[in-house]
Amino acid sequence: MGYVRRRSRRLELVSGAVLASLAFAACAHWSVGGETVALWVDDLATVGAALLAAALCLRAAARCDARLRRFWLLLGAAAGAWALAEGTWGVYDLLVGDVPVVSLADVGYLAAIPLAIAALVSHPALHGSPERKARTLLDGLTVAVALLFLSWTLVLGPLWESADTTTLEGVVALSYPVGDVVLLFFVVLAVRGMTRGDCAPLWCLLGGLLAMSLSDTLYAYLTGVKDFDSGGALDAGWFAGYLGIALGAALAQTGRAELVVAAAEDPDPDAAAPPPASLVAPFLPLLLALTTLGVQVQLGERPDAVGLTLAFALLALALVRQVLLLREWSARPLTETRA
Amino acid sequence: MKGRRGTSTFSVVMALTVLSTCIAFYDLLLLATNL
Repeated sequence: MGYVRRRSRRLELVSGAVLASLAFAACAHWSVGGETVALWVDDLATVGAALLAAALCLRAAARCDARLRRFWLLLGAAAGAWALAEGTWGVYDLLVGDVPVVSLADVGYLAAIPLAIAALVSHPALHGSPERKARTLLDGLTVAVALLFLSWTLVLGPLWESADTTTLEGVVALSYPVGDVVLLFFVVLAVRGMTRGDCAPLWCLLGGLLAMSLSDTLYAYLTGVKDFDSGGALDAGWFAGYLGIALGAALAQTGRAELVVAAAEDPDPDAAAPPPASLVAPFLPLLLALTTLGVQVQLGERPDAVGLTLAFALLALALVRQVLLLREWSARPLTETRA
Repeated sequence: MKGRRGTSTFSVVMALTVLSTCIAFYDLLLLATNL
């Protein structure tokens, strides 16, 4: 019964976060209550969500075991930096009336990215079991090249062309997509390194970081190509991202308790086996990048030198990876199906 | 149940492997004929 109650509570929390994000997006997009009200709601709700994420991460750090404490502390620090940045942005946006292209808020936003990356690096999911290390390097390389190719083709390349790297504005504009690529890389690696068991808190967290880095990349693109208008539905990505982190931190407590209960009731040796998501995760950036390359060439756009180098590296890595995967799997199905 | 789970994961990974290999070859063909 306790397990069922926890699950329904978890469902309530997740549905609440999704509904709140949808309401936020609708409010921002249609400027519910007038432009000024929508702007205040947008900025204040984002600061509130970031503060909530920071507080819940620190609470999780205080309650969890030593293995995860560093992860929650670093993520809490990242959420704190985001909260400071959102607060500064809010002051510019609401009180000054204009947000400079490079402002103090950028210090917070940019400081949060390495902190979030350091948190992911310290997570146990990134320190997989020894038998999976053989393909880890190749998977990591494939994911990194695929994400770099996607970013270079869609965001980083055009920004690199237009941004002036001798100015602070240019460097800041380029820092966001670069940081996001690295953050996305570690998010994919974390999903890849997941083990069976209670993955819900980690999924919420990673979903939140994914929403934020995609919004960040879009923000970099919009500021690079045209003027970004705060108060747009794009802000919902950040809001949903902070809520995702807050949700992951809130669920981490019950998640740990459930894991302990599950382990005591069912000593399943299969519990440490990789879940399907961890096997599928490296394919997503690979498929996206390969499809983007095909569409780009089909549309008659010639990739530049960097794009071509990345494309050929990606094709070679993809083919080598498939051969290794087939070799690995050809020895496994019989034992797997008998287990 | 475990057997079925292992087999279905295997099928998904195989399907993705075949799909990405096909797209990779298609891309190579496109690049070879367009560059």
